[in-house]
Amino acid sequence: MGTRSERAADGEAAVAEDQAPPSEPASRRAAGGGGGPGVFIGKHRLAAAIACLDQEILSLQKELTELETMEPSSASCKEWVFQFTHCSILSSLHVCVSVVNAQLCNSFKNNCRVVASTEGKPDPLLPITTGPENSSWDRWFQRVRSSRNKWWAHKASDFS
Amino acid sequence: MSVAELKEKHAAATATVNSLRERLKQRRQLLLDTDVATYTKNQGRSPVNFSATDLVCCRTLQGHTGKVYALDWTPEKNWIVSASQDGRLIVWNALTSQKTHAIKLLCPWVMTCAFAPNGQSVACGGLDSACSVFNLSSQSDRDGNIPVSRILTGHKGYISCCQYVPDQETRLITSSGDQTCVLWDVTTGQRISIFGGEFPSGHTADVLSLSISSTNPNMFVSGSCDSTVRLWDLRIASRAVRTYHGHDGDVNSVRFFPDGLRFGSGSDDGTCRLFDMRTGHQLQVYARQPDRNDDEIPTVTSVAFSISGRLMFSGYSNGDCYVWDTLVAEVVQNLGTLQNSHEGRISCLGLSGDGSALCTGSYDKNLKIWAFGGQRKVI
Repeated sequence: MGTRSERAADGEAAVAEDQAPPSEPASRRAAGGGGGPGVFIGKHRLAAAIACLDQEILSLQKELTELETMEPSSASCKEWVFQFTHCSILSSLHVCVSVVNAQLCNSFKNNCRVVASTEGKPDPLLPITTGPENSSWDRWFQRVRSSRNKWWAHKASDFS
Repeated sequence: MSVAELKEKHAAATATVNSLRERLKQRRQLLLDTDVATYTKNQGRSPVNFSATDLVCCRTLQGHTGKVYALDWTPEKNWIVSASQDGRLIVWNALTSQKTHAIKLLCPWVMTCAFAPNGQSVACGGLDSACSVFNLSSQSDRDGNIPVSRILTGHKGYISCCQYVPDQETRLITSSGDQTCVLWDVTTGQRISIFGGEFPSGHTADVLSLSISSTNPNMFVSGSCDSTVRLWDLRIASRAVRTYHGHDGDVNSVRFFPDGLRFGSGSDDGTCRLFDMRTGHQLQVYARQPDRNDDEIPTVTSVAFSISGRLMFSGYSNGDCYVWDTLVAEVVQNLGTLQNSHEGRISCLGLSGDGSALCTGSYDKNLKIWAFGGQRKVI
């Protein structure tokens, strides 16, 4: 109990029990719409409903046609995972030049690391994330001054 | 044409619609050859690894005297607005825990609230079937109450959810128990567009939630008691762009993925799902493991994504707040079991604008702020 529709149907109120909530429609489950078999439906209303159904038929047929040439879900999964992850090739060049002995230290060291980063966007809630790091991410653990009181909290790492 | 002939035509059209829907369902099932978790696990990817003290509750916002039903952050500042069974909206400075405004509502049966993009107004709605807007700069009356600056009337059922169109203080969308969503001009109070209803067709039961894409604010999705999610284009109110099937119960919460091309949903069927907006494919089902302690399956009340989308937070009716690794579909943390966690149902949750904090609201009358307090590695 307690989803939005149930709350509306039961008329939960914050005030005392003797105040009745405004009348609200009961939560209606999908029943294909319309009334029961005995309900009178006028000609115009029927015609409008048929027009609506005809539009729905066209829309469903269009979607069926789309599905005939649509790629399976594996293609969508692959696209999402590819967009979600990226490889960044970090090359760091180490140059060591010795004034004393140019022959021994005249070497270049290329380190190429392929870093598979799992998030393109820096995410402050992840234990491992791409940068740049923003110092304001940790404001929730910094000393806070307010007009009434001082408050601060420690990061778990402060106690380690 | 006579009424009898029209009724016959109506019955035939209904049968055609049902047949086409069944064919669509079967065709879509054939196209579901894998899901995201299976695909990424085949790549040897491992789940996000949190230590027990990484995600911590760093604030408890106390002040409501009733269940918290809804919350919303400002896009840029540290402010939160919350709505409660106590008939009040409270605006909080989440960083200092101070209450900057406490608004007593004309109708206490509030179900939703939202902050305007500029942080200067808040909107709310509920069983009064109207959406009330308050300007936070307004002068309070002698009782300390802020007067309502606009009431948006027109819905024929309760307001379940409201959200401002990103970067537009004058445009707001509501979802309702009358099976429709409405785009409003807040300045004039007029309805600009109505999405759904009997003619033209839309949801066939109460609409419970909505989410506007931040990358394309002309698009929004709505979740309903008819078990579907529908995609709408603000420029075309005549019919939904697409309908997403999959859930087996009320869809209580929908949220766009950060890239605006996918969205997540949470339902009474106990699952969260991820859908591809353009193709309609269901990319992943996030289903909890059956728990012997559960008398019945806990329902999903709310969902939100971290700023990168790697994490999905889902609140449940039993007080759990799962942190899902969206790629491998595994639960990597349960905020409901951590120190200082809520003592009741999680009713709502949302991320701060910069993604550094999650706020959860609960039937225990509190809101809590969660942030990463461990050793972060930046690569």
